[in-house]
Amino acid sequence: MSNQKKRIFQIEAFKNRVVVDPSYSEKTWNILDHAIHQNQICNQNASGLSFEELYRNAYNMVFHKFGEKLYSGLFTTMTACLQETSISLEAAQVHRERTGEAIDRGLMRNIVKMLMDLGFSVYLEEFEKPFLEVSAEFYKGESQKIMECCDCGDYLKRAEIRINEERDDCYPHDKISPQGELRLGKYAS
Amino acid sequence: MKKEDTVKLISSEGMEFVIDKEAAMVSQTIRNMLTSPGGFAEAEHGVVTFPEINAVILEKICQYFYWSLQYSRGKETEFHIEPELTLELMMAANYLHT
Repeated sequence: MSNQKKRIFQIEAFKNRVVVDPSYSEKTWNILDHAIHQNQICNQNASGLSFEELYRNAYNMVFHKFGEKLYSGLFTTMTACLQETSISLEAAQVHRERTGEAIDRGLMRNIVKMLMDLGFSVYLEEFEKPFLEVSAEFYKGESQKIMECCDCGDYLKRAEIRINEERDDCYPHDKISPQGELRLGKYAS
Repeated sequence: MKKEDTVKLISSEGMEFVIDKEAAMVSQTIRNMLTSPGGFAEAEHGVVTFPEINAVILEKICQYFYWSLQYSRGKETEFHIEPELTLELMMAANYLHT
């Protein structure tokens, strides 16, 4: 590297850092991906993981100009993680609310907002579809039960109450898409 | 030195440096390793390995930590760096957020 003390100090180019292996970025990314998914960062448990190793791999990726790959890979992985957890949470929450239990509205709102932030299309596909399917199932079941025991007037009243409940439910969240609302109304009737 | 107040830093050759936690925390990276939630192995055992930093550089870095603490307490001395170490030292410092 540097020359003798008598000569002018020079820094030579850092030769031993050239990345010869073309699949280096792929390998490095796989290490990180593995750590995030299988080694339970998803489940909020990082015990046994080495921070330094993960940090070093991420650092090397950026250092060798693979930062973009790192970012997009992370994005997809975290999205998948979040979807899994939030969808199951949402379904559970909504079901409980419909059966009359009080739920943590703040939590609901945050989850919905999170999904929205991930991208509106993400929200539409991943959340609304299963949400509406579940709603459809629920209403079919409910309407049959009601038809068995009440008369027509009663049924219409209950249906109206349900529609209003759902609409109130959605307004605080403020974000349900217009199509979503329409379809919800259709299922309720 | 009590065991709880120290951390062990291990270089690429396997040389171990035991220093005060306070000194190690001069490095943002090390500070994060030891304090971030989630139970990483480093925080649990108080040991951090650096497979890409060699012993000479790591030693200089440990010296820097202590110098930094002294400097912040008012003792304004110079920190001498041998020229041939500068490049690797700079890269390690960047890595360690120091």
